[in-house]
Amino acid sequence: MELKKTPLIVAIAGKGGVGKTIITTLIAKAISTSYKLKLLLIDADPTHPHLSKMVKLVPEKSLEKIRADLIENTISKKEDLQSIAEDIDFKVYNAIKESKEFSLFSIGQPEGPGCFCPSNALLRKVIESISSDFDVVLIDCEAGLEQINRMVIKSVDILLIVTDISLRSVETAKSISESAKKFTNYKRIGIIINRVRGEIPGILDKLKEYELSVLMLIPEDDLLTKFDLEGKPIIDISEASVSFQKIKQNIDSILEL
Amino acid sequence: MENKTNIEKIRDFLEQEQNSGKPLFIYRSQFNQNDSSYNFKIEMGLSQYKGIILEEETGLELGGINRKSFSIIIPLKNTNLLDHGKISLLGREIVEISEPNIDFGLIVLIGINDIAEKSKEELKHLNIISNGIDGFSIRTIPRRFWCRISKSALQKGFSFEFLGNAIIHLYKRKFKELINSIEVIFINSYPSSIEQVVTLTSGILFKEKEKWKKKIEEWRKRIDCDYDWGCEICPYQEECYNVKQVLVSREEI
Repeated sequence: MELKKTPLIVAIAGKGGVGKTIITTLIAKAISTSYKLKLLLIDADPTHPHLSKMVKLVPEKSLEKIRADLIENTISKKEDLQSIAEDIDFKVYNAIKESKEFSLFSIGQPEGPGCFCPSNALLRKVIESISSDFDVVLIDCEAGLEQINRMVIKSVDILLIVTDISLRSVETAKSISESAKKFTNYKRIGIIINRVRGEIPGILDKLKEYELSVLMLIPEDDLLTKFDLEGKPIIDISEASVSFQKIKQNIDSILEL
Repeated sequence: MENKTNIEKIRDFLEQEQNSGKPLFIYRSQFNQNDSSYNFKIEMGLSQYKGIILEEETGLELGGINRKSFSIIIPLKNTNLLDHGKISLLGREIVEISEPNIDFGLIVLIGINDIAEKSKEELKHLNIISNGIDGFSIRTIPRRFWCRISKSALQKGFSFEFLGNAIIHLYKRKFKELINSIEVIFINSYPSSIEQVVTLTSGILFKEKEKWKKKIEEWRKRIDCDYDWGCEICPYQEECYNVKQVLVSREEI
Protein backbone atom coordinates (compact mmCIF):
# COMPACT_ATOMS: atom_id res chain seq x y z
CA MET A 1 0.00 0.00 0.00
CA GLU A 2 1.37 3.41 -0.94
CA LEU A 3 0.67 6.06 1.69
CA LYS A 4 0.34 9.65 0.48
CA LYS A 5 2.26 10.84 3.48
CA THR A 6 4.47 9.29 6.13
CA PRO A 7 4.14 9.20 8.96
CA LEU A 8 0.39 9.09 8.73
CA ILE A 9 -0.97 10.18 12.11
CA VAL A 10 -4.31 8.63 13.01
CA ALA A 11 -6.05 9.47 16.26
CA ILE A 12 -8.92 7.35 17.53
CA ALA A 13 -11.23 9.12 19.94
CA GLY A 14 -14.72 8.69 21.33
CA LYS A 15 -16.89 8.66 24.42
CA GLY A 16 -15.69 6.29 27.12
CA GLY A 17 -16.94 2.74 26.71
CA VAL A 18 -17.76 2.80 22.99
CA GLY A 19 -14.88 0.42 22.21
CA LYS A 20 -12.25 2.77 20.79
CA THR A 21 -9.34 0.86 22.31
CA ILE A 22 -10.64 -2.40 20.88
CA ILE A 23 -11.08 -0.69 17.49
CA THR A 24 -7.53 0.68 17.73
CA THR A 25 -6.26 -2.83 18.43
CA LEU A 26 -8.16 -4.29 15.49
CA ILE A 27 -6.88 -1.57 13.17
CA ALA A 28 -3.33 -2.32 14.34
CA LYS A 29 -3.91 -6.04 13.71
CA ALA A 30 -5.35 -5.34 10.25
CA ILE A 31 -2.40 -3.12 9.28
CA SER A 32 0.21 -5.54 10.56
CA THR A 33 -1.38 -8.55 8.81
CA SER A 34 -2.15 -6.76 5.54
CA TYR A 35 0.81 -4.51 4.89
CA LYS A 36 4.52 -4.16 5.52
CA LEU A 37 4.17 -0.82 7.26
CA LYS A 38 6.10 0.36 10.28
CA LEU A 39 3.49 0.98 12.92
CA LEU A 40 3.72 2.93 16.18
CA LEU A 41 0.92 2.78 18.72
CA ILE A 42 0.54 5.47 21.35
CA ASP A 43 -1.55 4.65 24.38
CA ALA A 44 -2.65 8.16 25.25
CA ASP A 45 -5.40 7.40 27.70
CA PRO A 46 -3.91 8.41 31.05
CA THR A 47 -6.65 7.02 33.26
CA HIS A 48 -7.02 3.59 31.68
CA PRO A 49 -4.00 2.46 29.67
CA HIS A 50 -5.78 -0.58 28.25
CA LEU A 51 -4.22 -0.54 24.79
CA SER A 52 -0.90 -1.83 26.09
CA LYS A 53 -2.59 -4.89 27.58
CA MET A 54 -4.80 -5.50 24.57
CA VAL A 55 -1.78 -5.73 22.27
CA LYS A 56 0.44 -7.47 24.86
CA LEU A 57 3.06 -4.73 24.88
CA VAL A 58 3.38 -3.16 28.31
CA PRO A 59 6.21 -0.60 28.49
CA GLU A 60 8.27 -0.45 31.66
CA LYS A 61 8.33 3.33 31.66
CA SER A 62 5.65 5.81 30.64
CA LEU A 63 6.14 9.22 29.11
CA GLU A 64 4.79 10.82 32.26
CA LYS A 65 7.54 9.11 34.24
CA ILE A 66 10.13 10.44 31.83
CA ARG A 67 8.64 13.87 32.20
CA ALA A 68 8.72 13.67 35.99
CA ASP A 69 12.39 12.59 35.84
CA LEU A 70 13.16 15.42 33.42
CA ILE A 71 11.67 18.03 35.73
CA GLU A 72 13.37 16.56 38.77
CA ASN A 73 16.75 16.48 37.03
CA THR A 74 16.47 20.08 35.89
CA ILE A 75 15.63 21.28 39.38
CA SER A 76 18.05 19.09 41.33
CA LYS A 77 20.78 19.70 38.72
CA LYS A 78 21.82 16.04 38.87
CA GLU A 79 22.66 16.48 35.19
CA ASP A 80 23.54 19.64 33.33
CA LEU A 81 20.88 20.95 30.96
CA GLN A 82 22.95 20.24 27.85
CA SER A 83 23.28 16.54 28.79
CA ILE A 84 19.57 16.34 29.43
CA ALA A 85 18.88 17.87 26.03
CA GLU A 86 21.23 15.41 24.33
CA ASP A 87 19.77 12.36 26.06
CA ILE A 88 16.03 13.03 26.07
CA ASP A 89 15.36 11.48 22.65
CA PHE A 90 17.23 8.33 23.68
CA LYS A 91 15.20 8.08 26.87
CA VAL A 92 11.87 8.39 25.10
CA TYR A 93 12.94 5.87 22.47
CA ASN A 94 14.00 3.46 25.21
CA ALA A 95 10.51 3.73 26.67
CA ILE A 96 9.06 2.20 23.51
CA LYS A 97 8.12 -1.45 23.77
CA GLU A 98 8.60 -3.40 20.57
CA SER A 99 7.35 -6.53 18.91
CA LYS A 100 7.91 -7.69 15.35
CA GLU A 101 4.47 -6.35 14.40
CA PHE A 102 4.55 -2.89 15.94
CA SER A 103 5.95 -0.60 18.61
CA LEU A 104 4.13 1.08 21.47
CA PHE A 105 4.63 3.68 24.08
CA SER A 106 2.34 4.75 26.84
CA ILE A 107 1.64 8.28 28.02
CA GLY A 108 0.74 7.20 31.55
CA GLN A 109 -0.70 9.18 34.40
CA PRO A 110 0.59 12.57 35.54
CA GLU A 111 2.77 12.18 38.59
CA GLY A 112 1.51 15.10 40.62
CA PRO A 113 1.22 18.87 40.18
CA GLY A 114 3.83 20.89 38.43
CA CYS A 115 4.76 22.80 35.34
CA PHE A 116 3.58 20.84 32.34
CA CYS A 117 3.69 23.16 29.42
CA PRO A 118 7.36 23.47 28.48
CA SER A 119 7.91 19.77 29.22
CA ASN A 120 4.89 18.92 27.09
CA ALA A 121 6.31 21.05 24.30
CA LEU A 122 9.67 19.30 24.63
CA LEU A 123 8.17 15.81 24.64
CA ARG A 124 5.95 16.66 21.72
CA LYS A 125 9.03 17.61 19.71
CA VAL A 126 10.71 14.33 20.65
CA ILE A 127 7.62 12.28 19.73
CA GLU A 128 7.37 14.05 16.38
CA SER A 129 11.00 13.18 15.72
CA ILE A 130 10.54 9.53 16.70
CA SER A 131 7.33 9.27 14.66
CA SER A 132 9.31 10.03 11.52
CA ASP A 133 10.74 6.49 11.79
CA PHE A 134 7.28 5.02 11.27
CA ASP A 135 4.80 4.83 8.43
CA VAL A 136 1.66 4.96 10.55
CA VAL A 137 1.10 6.26 14.08
CA LEU A 138 -2.13 5.19 15.79
CA ILE A 139 -3.06 7.17 18.87
CA ASP A 140 -5.66 5.79 21.27
CA CYS A 141 -7.01 8.96 22.87
CA GLU A 142 -9.14 9.84 25.81
CA ALA A 143 -12.39 11.56 24.89
CA GLY A 144 -10.86 15.00 24.58
CA LEU A 145 -8.14 15.96 22.12
CA GLU A 146 -6.48 18.75 24.07
CA GLN A 147 -4.13 16.35 25.77
CA ILE A 148 -3.04 14.92 22.42
CA ASN A 149 -2.41 18.31 20.97
CA ARG A 150 -0.45 19.49 24.00
CA MET A 151 1.58 16.47 24.82
CA VAL A 152 1.70 14.06 21.98
CA ILE A 153 1.61 15.48 18.54
CA LYS A 154 0.49 18.76 17.10
CA SER A 155 -0.94 17.66 13.80
CA VAL A 156 -3.23 14.72 13.29
CA ASP A 157 -3.92 13.64 9.73
CA ILE A 158 -6.96 11.45 10.28
CA LEU A 159 -9.32 11.59 13.21
CA LEU A 160 -11.49 8.53 13.67
CA ILE A 161 -14.31 9.00 16.14
CA VAL A 162 -15.90 5.86 17.47
CA THR A 163 -19.51 5.86 18.56
CA ASP A 164 -21.92 3.12 19.48
CA ILE A 165 -25.64 3.21 18.79
CA SER A 166 -26.43 5.67 21.58
CA LEU A 167 -27.26 9.29 20.94
CA ARG A 168 -24.99 10.28 23.82
CA SER A 169 -22.01 8.87 21.98
CA VAL A 170 -23.06 10.79 18.87
CA GLU A 171 -23.25 14.00 20.90
CA THR A 172 -19.77 13.30 22.20
CA ALA A 173 -18.59 12.73 18.64
CA LYS A 174 -19.94 16.14 17.70
CA SER A 175 -18.12 17.89 20.52
CA ILE A 176 -14.90 16.00 19.74
CA SER A 177 -15.08 17.11 16.12
CA GLU A 178 -15.67 20.72 17.21
CA SER A 179 -12.75 20.53 19.58
CA ALA A 180 -10.65 18.99 16.80
CA LYS A 181 -11.33 21.98 14.57
CA LYS A 182 -9.83 24.22 17.27
CA PHE A 183 -6.86 22.14 18.41
CA THR A 184 -5.68 20.03 15.50
CA ASN A 185 -5.28 20.61 11.80
CA TYR A 186 -6.66 17.25 10.74
CA LYS A 187 -7.20 16.49 7.10
CA ARG A 188 -10.02 14.03 7.50
CA ILE A 189 -12.61 12.93 10.07
CA GLY A 190 -14.47 9.64 9.90
CA ILE A 191 -17.05 8.06 12.17
CA ILE A 192 -16.93 4.38 13.04
CA ILE A 193 -20.17 3.12 14.55
CA ASN A 194 -19.50 0.14 16.77
CA ARG A 195 -21.73 -2.67 18.07
CA VAL A 196 -24.44 -2.11 15.50
CA ARG A 197 -27.65 -4.16 15.86
CA GLY A 198 -30.45 -3.82 13.36
CA GLU A 199 -31.32 -0.57 11.57
CA ILE A 200 -30.14 2.68 13.09
CA PRO A 201 -31.78 5.47 11.08
CA GLY A 202 -31.94 7.83 14.07
CA ILE A 203 -28.18 7.64 14.62
CA LEU A 204 -27.34 8.00 10.93
CA ASP A 205 -29.67 10.99 10.57
CA LYS A 206 -28.09 12.69 13.56
CA LEU A 207 -24.61 12.17 12.21
CA LYS A 208 -25.73 13.56 8.86
CA GLU A 209 -27.21 16.58 10.62
CA TYR A 210 -23.85 17.16 12.31
CA GLU A 211 -22.08 16.75 8.97
CA LEU A 212 -20.05 13.82 10.25
CA SER A 213 -19.22 11.30 7.58
CA VAL A 214 -19.66 7.62 8.46
CA LEU A 215 -16.74 5.39 7.49
CA MET A 216 -18.13 2.05 8.55
CA LEU A 217 -20.61 0.20 10.67
CA ILE A 218 -19.19 -2.59 12.80
CA PRO A 219 -21.74 -5.21 13.77
CA GLU A 220 -22.26 -6.63 17.23
CA ASP A 221 -19.60 -9.29 17.60
CA ASP A 222 -20.25 -12.18 20.01
CA LEU A 223 -16.79 -13.61 19.50
CA LEU A 224 -15.18 -10.30 20.44
CA THR A 225 -17.48 -9.79 23.41
CA LYS A 226 -16.62 -13.23 24.77
CA PHE A 227 -12.92 -12.61 24.24
CA ASP A 228 -13.10 -9.32 26.05
CA LEU A 229 -15.17 -10.74 28.93
CA GLU A 230 -12.54 -13.42 29.41
CA GLY A 231 -9.88 -10.72 29.65
CA LYS A 232 -7.90 -12.07 26.71
CA PRO A 233 -5.68 -9.71 24.71
CA ILE A 234 -7.76 -8.57 21.73
CA ILE A 235 -4.75 -8.76 19.42
CA ASP A 236 -5.02 -12.55 19.63
CA ILE A 237 -8.60 -12.64 18.35
CA SER A 238 -9.28 -14.97 15.45
CA GLU A 239 -9.56 -13.47 11.98
CA ALA A 240 -13.07 -14.97 11.95
CA SER A 241 -14.23 -12.10 14.17
CA VAL A 242 -16.78 -10.04 12.21
CA SER A 243 -15.40 -6.81 13.68
CA PHE A 244 -11.91 -7.66 12.55
CA GLN A 245 -13.11 -8.69 9.10
CA LYS A 246 -15.01 -5.44 8.67
CA ILE A 247 -11.98 -3.37 9.62
CA LYS A 248 -9.65 -5.42 7.45
CA GLN A 249 -11.95 -5.02 4.43
CA ASN A 250 -11.96 -1.27 4.98
CA ILE A 251 -8.39 -0.67 6.01
CA ASP A 252 -7.55 1.15 2.78
CA SER A 253 -10.33 3.64 3.29
CA ILE A 254 -9.33 4.07 6.94
CA LEU A 255 -5.80 5.06 5.95
CA GLU A 256 -6.80 7.13 2.96
CA LEU A 257 -5.93 10.78 3.20
CA MET B 1 33.38 28.49 0.18
CA GLU B 2 32.65 27.75 3.83
CA ASN B 3 31.58 24.19 3.05
CA LYS B 4 34.71 23.57 1.01
CA THR B 5 36.95 24.62 3.85
CA ASN B 6 35.14 22.43 6.35
CA ILE B 7 35.12 19.36 4.11
CA GLU B 8 38.81 19.75 3.40
CA LYS B 9 39.36 20.00 7.14
CA ILE B 10 37.54 16.69 7.61
CA ARG B 11 39.74 15.02 4.99
CA ASP B 12 42.87 16.50 6.57
CA PHE B 13 41.70 15.26 9.93
CA LEU B 14 41.21 11.70 8.64
CA GLU B 15 44.71 11.74 7.18
CA GLN B 16 46.09 13.09 10.43
CA GLU B 17 44.41 10.31 12.41
CA GLN B 18 45.79 7.73 10.01
CA ASN B 19 49.27 9.18 10.40
CA SER B 20 48.88 8.90 14.17
CA GLY B 21 48.38 5.16 13.80
CA LYS B 22 44.62 4.77 13.59
CA PRO B 23 43.38 2.45 10.85
CA LEU B 24 41.84 4.11 7.81
CA PHE B 25 40.19 1.87 5.24
CA ILE B 26 39.31 3.15 1.77
CA TYR B 27 36.79 1.28 -0.35
CA ARG B 28 35.26 2.02 -3.71
CA SER B 29 31.59 1.54 -4.47
CA GLN B 30 30.96 -1.58 -6.52
CA PHE B 31 27.93 -0.15 -8.26
CA ASN B 32 27.71 1.78 -11.44
CA GLN B 33 24.50 3.36 -12.64
CA ASN B 34 23.12 0.36 -14.50
CA ASP B 35 24.56 -2.44 -12.46
CA SER B 36 22.08 -4.36 -10.38
CA SER B 37 24.42 -7.11 -9.24
CA TYR B 38 26.78 -6.97 -6.36
CA ASN B 39 28.95 -9.23 -4.32
CA PHE B 40 27.35 -9.02 -0.91
CA LYS B 41 25.03 -11.61 0.56
CA ILE B 42 22.80 -9.14 2.36
CA GLU B 43 19.56 -8.16 0.67
CA MET B 44 18.60 -4.57 0.06
CA GLY B 45 15.89 -2.65 -1.71
CA LEU B 46 14.06 0.67 -1.34
CA SER B 47 11.49 0.49 1.48
CA GLN B 48 11.70 -3.33 1.52
CA TYR B 49 13.15 -3.89 4.97
CA LYS B 50 11.09 -2.05 7.55
CA GLY B 51 11.12 -4.85 10.08
CA ILE B 52 11.92 -4.07 13.66
CA ILE B 53 15.09 -5.59 15.09
CA LEU B 54 14.36 -6.58 18.66
CA GLU B 55 16.96 -6.31 21.39
CA GLU B 56 17.43 -10.08 21.52
CA GLU B 57 18.03 -10.17 17.74
CA THR B 58 20.68 -7.45 17.86
CA GLY B 59 24.26 -8.37 17.14
CA LEU B 60 25.75 -4.88 17.24
CA GLU B 61 24.53 -1.38 18.04
CA LEU B 62 26.18 1.63 16.47
CA GLY B 63 25.96 4.76 18.64
CA GLY B 64 23.19 4.88 21.20
CA ILE B 65 22.62 6.52 24.55
CA ASN B 66 25.93 5.87 26.26
CA ARG B 67 28.05 6.24 23.15
CA LYS B 68 29.51 9.17 21.24
CA SER B 69 27.80 9.47 17.91
CA PHE B 70 26.81 11.82 15.12
CA SER B 71 25.21 11.72 11.71
CA ILE B 72 25.28 14.37 9.06
CA ILE B 73 24.14 14.37 5.46
CA ILE B 74 25.51 17.22 3.39
CA PRO B 75 24.04 18.07 -0.01
CA LEU B 76 26.60 19.89 -2.16
CA LYS B 77 26.17 21.75 -5.43
CA ASN B 78 29.89 21.87 -5.97
CA THR B 79 30.58 18.24 -6.84
CA ASN B 80 34.31 18.87 -7.03
CA LEU B 81 34.28 18.77 -3.25
CA LEU B 82 33.53 15.07 -3.11
CA ASP B 83 35.02 11.86 -4.42
CA HIS B 84 32.18 9.90 -5.98
CA GLY B 85 31.92 6.31 -4.85
CA LYS B 86 34.56 6.63 -2.14
CA ILE B 87 33.87 4.97 1.20
CA SER B 88 36.22 5.83 4.08
CA LEU B 89 36.31 4.08 7.42
CA LEU B 90 38.35 5.48 10.28
CA GLY B 91 38.30 2.77 12.90
CA ARG B 92 37.66 -0.95 12.91
CA GLU B 93 35.84 -3.17 10.46
CA ILE B 94 32.99 -5.18 11.92
CA VAL B 95 34.90 -8.46 12.04
CA GLU B 96 37.28 -6.86 14.53
CA ILE B 97 34.51 -5.64 16.86
CA SER B 98 33.53 -7.82 19.77
CA GLU B 99 31.66 -5.30 21.93
CA PRO B 100 27.86 -5.15 21.75
CA ASN B 101 27.90 -1.42 20.97
CA ILE B 102 30.42 1.13 19.73
CA ASP B 103 30.86 4.86 19.24
CA PHE B 104 29.95 5.78 15.69
CA GLY B 105 29.72 8.67 13.27
CA LEU B 106 28.40 8.92 9.73
CA ILE B 107 28.94 11.58 7.07
CA VAL B 108 27.25 11.32 3.68
CA LEU B 109 28.27 13.88 1.07
CA ILE B 110 25.83 14.10 -1.82
CA GLY B 111 26.46 15.98 -5.04
CA ILE B 112 23.13 17.41 -6.14
CA ASN B 113 21.77 18.85 -9.35
CA ASP B 114 19.15 21.56 -9.20
CA ILE B 115 16.64 20.15 -6.76
CA ALA B 116 13.70 21.56 -4.82
CA GLU B 117 14.11 22.41 -1.15
CA LYS B 118 11.65 19.62 -0.29
CA SER B 119 13.82 17.03 -2.04
CA LYS B 120 16.88 18.42 -0.29
CA GLU B 121 15.17 17.84 3.04
CA GLU B 122 14.17 14.34 1.98
CA LEU B 123 17.84 13.57 1.23
CA LYS B 124 18.61 14.02 4.91
CA HIS B 125 16.19 11.35 6.15
CA LEU B 126 18.00 8.26 7.29
CA ASN B 127 14.85 6.20 6.61
CA ILE B 128 16.10 5.60 3.07
CA ILE B 129 18.99 3.63 4.59
CA SER B 130 17.06 2.18 7.54
CA ASN B 131 14.22 0.77 5.46
CA GLY B 132 16.45 -0.44 2.66
CA ILE B 133 18.78 -3.00 4.22
CA ASP B 134 17.85 -6.38 5.63
CA GLY B 135 18.94 -6.62 9.26
CA PHE B 136 19.77 -2.96 9.70
CA SER B 137 17.54 -0.47 11.49
CA ILE B 138 18.18 3.16 12.45
CA ARG B 139 16.44 5.05 15.24
CA THR B 140 16.16 8.75 14.48
CA ILE B 141 17.89 10.93 17.06
CA PRO B 142 18.60 14.50 15.90
CA ARG B 143 22.26 14.87 14.83
CA ARG B 144 23.22 11.70 16.69
CA PHE B 145 23.21 8.11 15.47
CA TRP B 146 21.71 4.93 16.82
CA CYS B 147 21.14 1.75 14.91
CA ARG B 148 20.88 -1.99 15.35
CA ILE B 149 22.51 -4.61 13.17
CA SER B 150 20.93 -8.02 13.50
CA LYS B 151 22.88 -11.17 14.37
CA SER B 152 21.78 -12.75 11.11
CA ALA B 153 23.11 -9.81 9.09
CA LEU B 154 26.44 -10.12 10.89
CA GLN B 155 26.52 -13.82 10.12
CA LYS B 156 25.99 -13.01 6.44
CA GLY B 157 29.06 -10.81 6.56
CA PHE B 158 27.69 -7.32 7.21
CA SER B 159 30.60 -4.89 7.05
CA PHE B 160 31.13 -1.17 6.79
CA GLU B 161 32.29 -1.74 3.24
CA PHE B 162 28.88 -3.24 2.52
CA LEU B 163 27.08 -0.45 4.39
CA GLY B 164 28.86 2.24 2.40
CA ASN B 165 27.97 0.47 -0.84
CA ALA B 166 24.37 0.08 0.29
CA ILE B 167 24.04 3.77 1.14
CA ILE B 168 25.35 4.80 -2.26
CA HIS B 169 23.15 2.31 -4.07
CA LEU B 170 19.96 3.21 -2.18
CA TYR B 171 20.40 6.93 -2.64
CA LYS B 172 21.05 6.55 -6.36
CA ARG B 173 17.99 4.32 -6.73
CA LYS B 174 15.80 6.72 -4.78
CA PHE B 175 16.90 10.04 -6.20
CA LYS B 176 18.14 8.97 -9.66
CA GLU B 177 19.10 11.98 -11.76
CA LEU B 178 18.55 14.45 -8.90
CA ILE B 179 21.91 13.47 -7.49
CA ASN B 180 25.12 12.78 -9.36
CA SER B 181 27.67 11.67 -6.77
CA ILE B 182 27.93 10.30 -3.23
CA GLU B 183 30.75 9.82 -0.78
CA VAL B 184 30.46 8.12 2.60
CA ILE B 185 32.64 8.48 5.68
CA PHE B 186 32.39 6.31 8.77
CA ILE B 187 34.18 6.88 12.05
CA ASN B 188 33.99 4.38 14.87
CA SER B 189 35.69 3.23 18.03
CA TYR B 190 37.50 6.48 18.84
CA PRO B 191 35.32 8.85 20.90
CA SER B 192 37.88 11.65 20.70
CA SER B 193 37.90 11.41 16.88
CA ILE B 194 34.13 11.56 16.84
CA GLU B 195 34.15 14.62 19.08
CA GLN B 196 36.60 16.38 16.82
CA VAL B 197 34.56 15.65 13.73
CA VAL B 198 31.46 16.98 15.51
CA THR B 199 33.37 20.22 16.09
CA LEU B 200 34.45 20.34 12.45
CA THR B 201 30.96 19.69 11.12
CA SER B 202 29.43 22.32 13.40
CA GLY B 203 30.81 24.88 10.98
CA ILE B 204 28.80 23.29 8.16
CA LEU B 205 25.69 23.32 10.29
CA PHE B 206 26.23 26.94 11.36
CA LYS B 207 24.13 28.45 8.58
CA GLU B 208 21.22 26.14 9.33
CA LYS B 209 21.45 26.97 13.01
CA GLU B 210 21.28 30.69 12.32
CA LYS B 211 18.05 30.13 10.42
CA TRP B 212 16.61 28.27 13.35
CA LYS B 213 17.80 30.56 16.13
CA LYS B 214 15.26 33.25 15.34
CA LYS B 215 12.48 30.68 15.06
CA ILE B 216 13.47 29.14 18.38
CA GLU B 217 13.46 32.54 20.14
CA GLU B 218 9.98 33.42 18.88
CA TRP B 219 8.72 30.00 19.63
CA ARG B 220 10.22 29.97 23.13
CA LYS B 221 8.10 33.00 24.00
CA ARG B 222 4.96 31.31 22.72
CA ILE B 223 4.89 28.12 24.78
CA ASP B 224 1.37 28.04 26.15
CA CYS B 225 0.84 27.97 29.84
CA ASP B 226 -1.98 26.20 31.63
CA TYR B 227 -2.02 28.53 34.59
CA ASP B 228 -3.74 31.90 34.99
CA TRP B 229 -1.27 33.46 37.38
CA GLY B 230 1.67 35.49 36.13
CA CYS B 231 5.24 34.16 35.87
CA GLU B 232 6.43 36.39 38.71
CA ILE B 233 4.27 34.55 41.27
CA CYS B 234 4.37 31.10 39.65
CA PRO B 235 5.66 28.41 42.02
CA TYR B 236 6.98 26.47 39.01
CA GLN B 237 8.99 29.29 37.52
CA GLU B 238 12.38 27.65 38.00
CA GLU B 239 11.41 24.30 36.49
CA CYS B 240 9.60 26.09 33.67
CA TYR B 241 12.72 28.07 32.83
CA ASN B 242 15.00 25.01 33.10
CA VAL B 243 12.83 22.84 30.88
CA LYS B 244 12.57 25.63 28.31
CA GLN B 245 16.38 25.74 28.30
CA VAL B 246 16.49 21.99 27.65
CA LEU B 247 14.00 22.42 24.82
CA VAL B 248 16.07 25.15 23.22
CA SER B 249 19.33 23.22 23.70
CA ARG B 250 17.81 20.21 21.99
CA GLU B 251 16.77 22.28 19.02
CA GLU B 252 20.26 23.69 18.77
CA ILE B 253 21.97 20.29 18.80
